[in-house]
Amino acid sequence: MRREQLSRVLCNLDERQIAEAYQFNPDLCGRSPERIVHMKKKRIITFALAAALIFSLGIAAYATGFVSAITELARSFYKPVPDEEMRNERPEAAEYHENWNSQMDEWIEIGENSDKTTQSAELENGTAITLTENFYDGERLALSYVLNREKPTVDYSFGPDHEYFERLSESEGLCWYQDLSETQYLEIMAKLKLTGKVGFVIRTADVGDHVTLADGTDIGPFVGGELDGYTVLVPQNGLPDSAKGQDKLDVVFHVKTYEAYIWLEGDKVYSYYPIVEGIPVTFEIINNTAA
Amino acid sequence: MTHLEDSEIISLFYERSEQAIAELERKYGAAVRKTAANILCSKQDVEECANDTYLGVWNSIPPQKPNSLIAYVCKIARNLATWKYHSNTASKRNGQYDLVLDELEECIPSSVNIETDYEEKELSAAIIRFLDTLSYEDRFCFLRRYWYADSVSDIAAMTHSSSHRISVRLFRARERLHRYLIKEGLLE
Repeated sequence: MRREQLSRVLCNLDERQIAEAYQFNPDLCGRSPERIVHMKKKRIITFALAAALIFSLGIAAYATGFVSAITELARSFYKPVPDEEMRNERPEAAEYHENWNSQMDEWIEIGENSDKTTQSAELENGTAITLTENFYDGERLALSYVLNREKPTVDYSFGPDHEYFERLSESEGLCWYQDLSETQYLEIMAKLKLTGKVGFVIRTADVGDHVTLADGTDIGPFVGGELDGYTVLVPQNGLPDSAKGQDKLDVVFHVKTYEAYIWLEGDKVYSYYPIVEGIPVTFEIINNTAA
Repeated sequence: MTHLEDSEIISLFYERSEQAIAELERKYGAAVRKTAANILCSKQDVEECANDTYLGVWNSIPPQKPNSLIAYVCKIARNLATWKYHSNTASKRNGQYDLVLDELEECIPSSVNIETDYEEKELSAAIIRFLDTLSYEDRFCFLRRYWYADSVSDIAAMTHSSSHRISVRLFRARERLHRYLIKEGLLE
């Protein structure tokens, strides 16, 4: 299919869906504040306790090598088995499924043979990143990590006098409250109700998109996903040449403190997200086949 | 700044009032330019595309009476922008939109042979059905990336998520679309 055709196919999508995606609708968010507000407090506390317990048990299980996040993630994907009819009538479809299944089988095998020795780094910004699992055989790399971070903070020092105020742009449908607690959200709404406008900065930590080698080489886009708080990364296009055939690799994560400058005025939302530098965290990955 | 309701703007078009264009520009001008700028790289092309969009709306309302004015207007802007994009030489193209098409070609490969308008429409209809199977957040991310051609970081900012999470979400959606089109017998 030519790229012009692909463009045209997309142009013909449903106006209902296009309109729906024009702005992010908080009411339809999986974690909308309305739902949080309507939950009973006791239930929230129960949820929080349960989540904390599951998280700590999970860490223990993964850390002691009983479970591999890479294997579990591969098992979580849908894997249809091509039947004879598909093989005969749609060989390309069967081949696609077989390739997908064999890729997932490879992830399962990688997870079973991965090094489950954990490596952790605590950062000045209150964040800790733990590499829970790694696999490197000179050709293939897979990583699993967990990020422990402080809850997002809300700082009300932002207003018209701030240097970033003029950089705000209208952001209809922005789900700015997604990572905030119920208390933080209600406090902001109370201030908005009082004066009709409120400015604040939300700070939260996360891992940057790009994992690099120690010399700055970008490993490239990853496939993978999140499962039970564990993020699994597998290079989508294989490793760059400089990362192949080594006895060990130094891989660098970039942990960032993201800032969201938000100004609410009436029912309008304005925001500015400055570009932030990450704090580099280096983990040493030993070639599993070197020993 | 208050805007007219969509129905009021449409009424102005029906009355053939030139104020209709001004009100449309005031309310949705930024969205039209953003839609075009995500696909085209030169400011001049974007401005031309915006003006052609208003002309297109002027010429089509009436008789059209769109249910969603924003979708209608952005759709015209996108059609014009993609037409201009494919007419431009490679050096004048927007690398960002190239990337969007590259990603989509992962799940709708260039080997797929579509020869008629009917087959194109059939594929569009299948994608529409597929989008209805996605969660709201997945559908939002998919459309912002592949219809509005937004950057991953822009989508992350809109949803206050991380770019990594959006990339993973889009990757999974592309995988699911590929499997869906195979299941529907549209990919062979």
